[in-house]
Amino acid sequence: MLHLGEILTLVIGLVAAIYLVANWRQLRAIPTLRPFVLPLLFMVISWASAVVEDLFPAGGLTSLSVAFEETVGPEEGGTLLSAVFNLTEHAAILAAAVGLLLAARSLARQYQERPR
Amino acid sequence: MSAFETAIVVVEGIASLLLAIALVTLLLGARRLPATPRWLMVALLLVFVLVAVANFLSWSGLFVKAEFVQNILWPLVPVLWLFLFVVERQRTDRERATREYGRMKAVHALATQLAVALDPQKVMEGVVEAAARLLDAQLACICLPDEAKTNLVIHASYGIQADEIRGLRFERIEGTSIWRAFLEKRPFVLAHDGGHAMHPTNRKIVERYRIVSLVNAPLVLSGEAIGTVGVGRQAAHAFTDDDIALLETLVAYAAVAIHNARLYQRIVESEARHRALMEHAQVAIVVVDVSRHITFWNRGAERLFGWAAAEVLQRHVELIYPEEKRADVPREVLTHLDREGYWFGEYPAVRKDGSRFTCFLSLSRVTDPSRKALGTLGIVLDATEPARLREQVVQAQKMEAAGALAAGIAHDFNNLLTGILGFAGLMKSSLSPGGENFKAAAQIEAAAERGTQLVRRLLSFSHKQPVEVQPVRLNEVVTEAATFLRRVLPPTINLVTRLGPRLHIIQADATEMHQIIMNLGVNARDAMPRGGDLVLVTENLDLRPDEAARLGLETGPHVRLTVTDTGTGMDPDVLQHVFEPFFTTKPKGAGLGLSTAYAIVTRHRGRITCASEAGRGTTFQATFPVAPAKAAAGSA
Repeated sequence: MLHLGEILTLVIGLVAAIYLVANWRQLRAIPTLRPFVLPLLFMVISWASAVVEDLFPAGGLTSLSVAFEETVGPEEGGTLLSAVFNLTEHAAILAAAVGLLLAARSLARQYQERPR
Repeated sequence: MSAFETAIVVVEGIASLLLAIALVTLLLGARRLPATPRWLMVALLLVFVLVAVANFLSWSGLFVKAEFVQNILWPLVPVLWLFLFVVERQRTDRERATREYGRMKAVHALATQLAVALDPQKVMEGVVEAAARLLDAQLACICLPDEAKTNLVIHASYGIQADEIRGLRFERIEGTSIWRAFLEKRPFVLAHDGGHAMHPTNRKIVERYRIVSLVNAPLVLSGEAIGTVGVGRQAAHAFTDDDIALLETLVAYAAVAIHNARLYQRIVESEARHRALMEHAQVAIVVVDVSRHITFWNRGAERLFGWAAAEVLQRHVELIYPEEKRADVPREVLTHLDREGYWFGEYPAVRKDGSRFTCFLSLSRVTDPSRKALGTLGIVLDATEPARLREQVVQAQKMEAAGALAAGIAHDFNNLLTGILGFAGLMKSSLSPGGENFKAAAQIEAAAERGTQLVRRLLSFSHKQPVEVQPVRLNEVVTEAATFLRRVLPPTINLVTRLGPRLHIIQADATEMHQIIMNLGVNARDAMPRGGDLVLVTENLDLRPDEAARLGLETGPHVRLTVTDTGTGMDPDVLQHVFEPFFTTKPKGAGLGLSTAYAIVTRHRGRITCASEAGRGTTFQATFPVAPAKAAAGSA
């Protein structure tokens, strides 16, 4: 069963990604933004996985849920594909978190307060 | 909880933890990050942390209602992300525009400075300093090729110690970035290692100054590279496209400025060379503008006219013409100049002290390439000396002709006198003394004797008599001649002799020296019918080149005899004929006394001159060369 919140998140995430690609030449030259590019891509993967995962337990796009999913693992009758995408979703979040941590460290090094 | 759910919980937990650490790192570390991106990033991370924590709590079953939080916050994450991109881009665009404006302003200011800079070295030093400052670099240098274009030589640098760049050159190595920049006329950026593209000289500088990033840009003018500008950074950030564009703009201005300054320097050097040539010319060179005001006045002109350049510049040129010529002649000259473009001839001129002289004047019209008249160039030579020499030559030729004539007459006349004297003697011997006829024969003989004396004088004037020179002390001759003169001078004339001490010995015929003094003394006596002073002076003198040239003698030691009287003097018309044979102003004069003196002095390789002024007296100066040391020693 598809969830509106997830679709909305994915759509906005894709808009951000398209904006990034469309303005790549300008954005890549901005030192504060460069570290945030890879985490965004991970998050787009995560958001896409969340949406795709929903296609399997319900068997189609016919029923839309207004609420967020409640993931069902194979043990509880969910499909294996659904579980894989679910895991992908969370692994991508983890990767994005790692990326964001590195980005924060890089920016902290670059913009740390220096004694005058 | 199933194993799958456990894995999800662990993943979410780790993600939450990492995001929280990232949040803290950003908050505490990046304090210098501009406020807008910083707070956007903080918001993004915060929302992310909250979502991840909510997920973790939801999965772990600790907080079942976490879904609600998740539902609200999750879409905020991409929104914040997009917002961060858009806002940060706008901010950096604004920053960049401001920075570019600042840079362009600096480049414009520099270009303005360079446009008026005239010293190529200062221009190059200004360029390297500006390049280093604008590009936030620590090192910059300008290299120009040598004449063979086999080396690029550092001409100006910033951040490199002067003693380190002395003699530093980049010999031609194909493929190195500096030579590629020069030959391909485009900039080359190198990282600190540079590989084979880094010139060995570049490598030395890079290692010595710990340069991390280096760019070489060509100085291009009219499609031709005239040098390179190298800029190096010690900081980690490499040169951006904006930096390169800025450097290209800067070097474009620099190329023009360096080229112009070098052209100007060449013009200045050329102008100085030409000015020096004109300044040091021995002839007087004067340049006037179209309104005939003096714009150039060289040292030769200063010497000739006595005016210093500062006194005459911008004054009308008429100040060098005599008053009566100021109105007419320039018009006449200008007419010829306009028609022919030049004029030359003799022309009267006047010195600062008012003395007049004749000059050779050569005038040329000065025009610009479009043939518009700019003024006139005048070359002025003092014609006094050539005129005097010309006069001397004429005088010498005249005297030579008169001498030849006199010699011919004297020879024939002497033959006649021989016969007259012989027959007068025979007549006397055949007559008784005391008779009328005897007296007549004696008168004939006496007249013939006087004729013989006249012949001798004519022969003396015409150089036909041999001169027997020997070392002579002129003081002794003067003393002896003075004794004779006193007998022939009336008491109203006061004879004074001033004999120079240790007078040099001269090679002369003492009798002829005696004759000179007598002739000049008698001439002075005749010029002082009411009495006066007759002064005989002898002195040693060392002729300087200018006076030697004026007299036509050699430089060095000479002896001078000066005979001065305080008589009636002569006006210029008489003065110019004074040495001519048979020229006399006396009723009973033969006109041979001064011409004979002239002939004798000339025969002794000396010169005699006369200066006189009507009513003020006359001065004759006879100058003789000193006897050679050997001859003088023999006489001593």
